[in-house]
Amino acid sequence: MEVVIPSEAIKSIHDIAEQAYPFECCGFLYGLVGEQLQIRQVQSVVNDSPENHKVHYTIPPKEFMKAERYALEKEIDLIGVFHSHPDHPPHPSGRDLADALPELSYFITSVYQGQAIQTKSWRLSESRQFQEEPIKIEFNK
Amino acid sequence: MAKIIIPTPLRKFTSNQAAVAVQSGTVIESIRDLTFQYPDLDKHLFNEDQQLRGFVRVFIGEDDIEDLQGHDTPVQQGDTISIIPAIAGGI
Repeated sequence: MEVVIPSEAIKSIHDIAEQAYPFECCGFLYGLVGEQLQIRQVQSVVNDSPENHKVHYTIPPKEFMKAERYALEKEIDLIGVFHSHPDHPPHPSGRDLADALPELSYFITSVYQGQAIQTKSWRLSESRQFQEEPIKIEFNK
Repeated sequence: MAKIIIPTPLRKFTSNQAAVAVQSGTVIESIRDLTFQYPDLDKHLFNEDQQLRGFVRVFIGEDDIEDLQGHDTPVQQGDTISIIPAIAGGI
Protein backbone atom coordinates (compact mmCIF):
# COMPACT_ATOMS: atom_id res chain seq x y z
CA MET A 1 0.00 0.00 0.00
CA GLU A 2 1.21 3.53 -0.75
CA VAL A 3 2.22 5.63 2.25
CA VAL A 4 1.49 9.34 1.98
CA ILE A 5 3.46 11.61 4.27
CA PRO A 6 3.55 15.42 4.48
CA SER A 7 6.96 16.93 3.70
CA GLU A 8 7.08 18.41 7.24
CA ALA A 9 6.70 14.93 8.74
CA ILE A 10 9.46 13.38 6.65
CA LYS A 11 11.64 16.36 7.58
CA SER A 12 10.89 15.67 11.26
CA ILE A 13 12.04 12.07 10.84
CA HIS A 14 15.23 13.22 9.12
CA ASP A 15 15.88 15.84 11.83
CA ILE A 16 15.42 13.22 14.58
CA ALA A 17 17.70 10.77 12.74
CA GLU A 18 20.40 13.41 12.26
CA GLN A 19 20.25 14.52 15.89
CA ALA A 20 20.61 10.91 17.06
CA TYR A 21 23.59 10.20 14.77
CA PRO A 22 25.83 8.21 15.15
CA PHE A 23 23.19 6.32 17.12
CA GLU A 24 19.89 4.88 15.95
CA CYS A 25 16.72 6.84 16.58
CA CYS A 26 13.23 5.36 16.76
CA GLY A 27 9.60 6.37 17.10
CA PHE A 28 5.98 5.94 16.08
CA LEU A 29 3.97 6.96 13.04
CA TYR A 30 0.28 7.81 13.45
CA GLY A 31 -2.35 8.56 10.86
CA LEU A 32 -5.28 7.25 8.90
CA VAL A 33 -5.75 3.93 7.15
CA GLY A 34 -7.73 3.94 3.91
CA GLU A 35 -6.84 3.17 0.32
CA GLN A 36 -3.54 4.75 1.25
CA LEU A 37 -1.77 5.08 4.57
CA GLN A 38 -1.87 8.78 5.46
CA ILE A 39 0.71 9.74 8.06
CA ARG A 40 -0.35 12.66 10.21
CA GLN A 41 2.03 12.60 13.14
CA VAL A 42 5.54 11.52 14.01
CA GLN A 43 6.52 10.81 17.62
CA SER A 44 10.10 10.23 18.72
CA VAL A 45 10.80 7.64 21.43
CA VAL A 46 14.02 7.19 23.41
CA ASN A 47 16.08 4.26 22.12
CA ASP A 48 15.97 1.86 25.09
CA SER A 49 18.16 -0.89 23.66
CA PRO A 50 20.46 -2.57 26.19
CA GLU A 51 22.89 -3.08 23.28
CA ASN A 52 25.07 -0.69 21.28
CA HIS A 53 22.79 2.12 20.06
CA LYS A 54 24.92 2.52 16.92
CA VAL A 55 23.56 -0.77 15.63
CA HIS A 56 20.42 -1.53 17.61
CA TYR A 57 17.21 0.06 18.85
CA THR A 58 14.40 -0.98 21.16
CA ILE A 59 11.06 0.63 21.88
CA PRO A 60 10.05 -0.84 25.25
CA PRO A 61 6.61 -2.39 25.84
CA LYS A 62 5.44 0.47 28.08
CA GLU A 63 5.99 2.91 25.20
CA PHE A 64 4.00 0.66 22.87
CA MET A 65 1.17 0.59 25.41
CA LYS A 66 1.26 4.39 25.63
CA ALA A 67 1.22 4.67 21.84
CA GLU A 68 -1.85 2.43 21.55
CA ARG A 69 -3.66 4.47 24.20
CA TYR A 70 -2.64 7.73 22.52
CA ALA A 71 -4.00 6.53 19.17
CA LEU A 72 -7.27 5.52 20.83
CA GLU A 73 -7.65 8.91 22.54
CA LYS A 74 -6.86 10.87 19.38
CA GLU A 75 -8.97 8.57 17.20
CA ILE A 76 -6.10 7.94 14.83
CA ASP A 77 -4.29 4.76 13.93
CA LEU A 78 -0.87 3.57 14.96
CA ILE A 79 0.40 3.04 11.43
CA GLY A 80 4.01 2.19 11.95
CA VAL A 81 7.41 2.79 13.46
CA PHE A 82 10.57 4.44 12.24
CA HIS A 83 14.24 4.02 12.98
CA SER A 84 17.55 5.02 11.44
CA HIS A 85 20.53 3.13 10.04
CA PRO A 86 23.64 5.21 10.72
CA ASP A 87 26.11 4.81 7.83
CA HIS A 88 24.06 1.96 6.35
CA PRO A 89 21.41 1.76 3.64
CA PRO A 90 17.69 2.00 4.49
CA HIS A 91 17.10 -1.71 4.06
CA PRO A 92 15.83 -4.04 6.79
CA SER A 93 18.44 -6.20 8.47
CA GLY A 94 18.04 -9.77 9.67
CA ARG A 95 17.42 -8.42 13.15
CA ASP A 96 14.73 -6.07 11.84
CA LEU A 97 13.04 -9.05 10.22
CA ALA A 98 13.31 -11.43 13.19
CA ASP A 99 11.45 -9.06 15.51
CA ALA A 100 9.06 -7.49 13.02
CA LEU A 101 5.32 -7.23 13.58
CA PRO A 102 2.81 -7.62 10.78
CA GLU A 103 0.39 -4.84 9.84
CA LEU A 104 2.85 -2.03 10.56
CA SER A 105 4.92 0.15 8.24
CA TYR A 106 8.60 0.17 9.08
CA PHE A 107 10.31 3.40 7.98
CA ILE A 108 14.09 3.16 7.83
CA THR A 109 16.24 6.26 7.26
CA SER A 110 19.85 6.02 6.16
CA VAL A 111 22.13 8.62 7.74
CA TYR A 112 25.63 9.07 6.38
CA GLN A 113 28.13 11.31 8.19
CA GLY A 114 25.32 12.95 10.10
CA GLN A 115 23.12 13.66 7.11
CA ALA A 116 19.82 11.87 6.49
CA ILE A 117 19.94 10.65 2.90
CA GLN A 118 16.97 8.42 2.19
CA THR A 119 13.89 6.93 3.86
CA LYS A 120 12.20 3.76 2.69
CA SER A 121 9.10 2.03 4.03
CA TRP A 122 8.78 -1.73 4.50
CA ARG A 123 5.93 -4.03 5.45
CA LEU A 124 5.92 -7.66 6.46
CA SER A 125 4.28 -10.03 3.97
CA GLU A 126 2.17 -13.08 4.82
CA SER A 127 5.33 -15.18 4.50
CA ARG A 128 7.21 -12.87 6.89
CA GLN A 129 9.39 -11.22 4.28
CA PHE A 130 9.79 -7.44 4.09
CA GLN A 131 8.36 -5.80 0.98
CA GLU A 132 9.00 -2.17 0.13
CA GLU A 133 6.03 0.20 0.16
CA PRO A 134 6.07 3.31 -2.04
CA ILE A 135 6.28 6.60 -0.15
CA LYS A 136 4.57 9.68 -1.59
CA ILE A 137 5.68 12.98 -0.08
CA GLU A 138 2.99 15.67 0.00
CA PHE A 139 4.13 19.27 -0.25
CA ASN A 140 2.05 22.24 0.91
CA LYS A 141 0.13 23.81 -1.93
CA MET B 1 -10.30 -19.72 31.70
CA ALA B 2 -8.04 -16.68 31.48
CA LYS B 3 -7.89 -14.06 28.73
CA ILE B 4 -5.14 -12.69 26.54
CA ILE B 5 -5.19 -9.07 25.37
CA ILE B 6 -4.03 -8.85 21.75
CA PRO B 7 -2.00 -5.84 20.52
CA THR B 8 -3.58 -3.93 17.62
CA PRO B 9 -1.23 -5.13 14.84
CA LEU B 10 -2.04 -8.78 15.63
CA ARG B 11 -5.84 -8.45 15.82
CA LYS B 12 -6.17 -9.17 12.11
CA PHE B 13 -5.25 -12.73 13.07
CA THR B 14 -7.84 -13.03 15.87
CA SER B 15 -10.87 -11.97 13.81
CA ASN B 16 -10.33 -8.43 15.17
CA GLN B 17 -10.92 -9.57 18.73
CA ALA B 18 -9.04 -7.49 21.30
CA ALA B 19 -9.22 -10.26 23.91
CA VAL B 20 -9.32 -14.03 23.56
CA ALA B 21 -10.35 -16.54 26.24
CA VAL B 22 -7.68 -19.19 26.77
CA GLN B 23 -6.99 -22.15 29.01
CA SER B 24 -5.22 -21.39 32.25
CA GLY B 25 -2.19 -23.42 33.33
CA THR B 26 1.13 -21.74 32.61
CA VAL B 27 1.84 -18.68 30.48
CA ILE B 28 3.28 -20.71 27.63
CA GLU B 29 0.34 -23.13 27.74
CA SER B 30 -2.10 -20.22 27.54
CA ILE B 31 -0.24 -18.72 24.56
CA ARG B 32 -0.15 -22.13 22.88
CA ASP B 33 -3.91 -22.33 23.35
CA LEU B 34 -4.21 -18.91 21.67
CA THR B 35 -2.22 -20.05 18.61
CA PHE B 36 -4.21 -23.31 18.57
CA GLN B 37 -7.38 -21.23 18.26
CA TYR B 38 -5.79 -18.82 15.77
CA PRO B 39 -3.07 -20.74 13.88
CA ASP B 40 -2.13 -17.77 11.66
CA LEU B 41 -0.73 -16.09 14.77
CA ASP B 42 1.79 -18.84 15.35
CA LYS B 43 4.46 -17.69 12.89
CA HIS B 44 4.30 -14.15 14.23
CA LEU B 45 4.62 -15.13 17.89
CA PHE B 46 7.03 -18.07 17.56
CA ASN B 47 10.25 -18.35 15.56
CA GLU B 48 11.42 -21.36 13.54
CA ASP B 49 12.77 -22.94 16.74
CA GLN B 50 9.34 -22.60 18.33
CA GLN B 51 10.66 -20.00 20.77
CA LEU B 52 8.70 -16.80 21.42
CA ARG B 53 10.05 -14.05 19.16
CA GLY B 54 12.17 -11.34 20.74
CA PHE B 55 9.50 -8.67 20.51
CA VAL B 56 6.93 -10.66 22.49
CA ARG B 57 6.73 -9.42 26.07
CA VAL B 58 4.12 -10.94 28.32
CA PHE B 59 2.48 -9.45 31.38
CA ILE B 60 0.02 -10.93 33.86
CA GLY B 61 -1.97 -8.00 35.14
CA GLU B 62 0.73 -5.35 35.58
CA ASP B 63 3.55 -7.83 36.20
CA ASP B 64 6.19 -8.72 33.60
CA ILE B 65 6.51 -12.51 33.60
CA GLU B 66 10.30 -12.06 33.49
CA ASP B 67 9.97 -10.86 37.10
CA LEU B 68 7.88 -13.94 37.95
CA GLN B 69 8.60 -17.45 36.67
CA GLY B 70 8.95 -16.63 32.99
CA HIS B 71 7.07 -18.92 30.62
CA ASP B 72 6.27 -21.26 33.51
CA THR B 73 4.44 -18.57 35.47
CA PRO B 74 1.11 -20.04 36.63
CA VAL B 75 -2.01 -18.56 35.09
CA GLN B 76 -5.06 -18.58 37.37
CA GLN B 77 -8.71 -18.58 36.36
CA GLY B 78 -9.72 -15.01 35.55
CA ASP B 79 -6.17 -13.73 35.00
CA THR B 80 -5.56 -11.19 32.26
CA ILE B 81 -2.46 -11.82 30.16
CA SER B 82 -1.20 -9.02 27.91
CA ILE B 83 1.04 -9.57 24.91
CA ILE B 84 2.85 -6.28 24.36
CA PRO B 85 5.42 -5.84 21.63
CA ALA B 86 8.89 -4.48 22.30
CA ILE B 87 9.72 -3.07 18.88
CA ALA B 88 13.36 -3.78 18.12
CA GLY B 89 15.86 -4.17 15.34
CA GLY B 90 19.01 -2.66 13.97
CA ILE B 91 21.75 -2.91 11.43
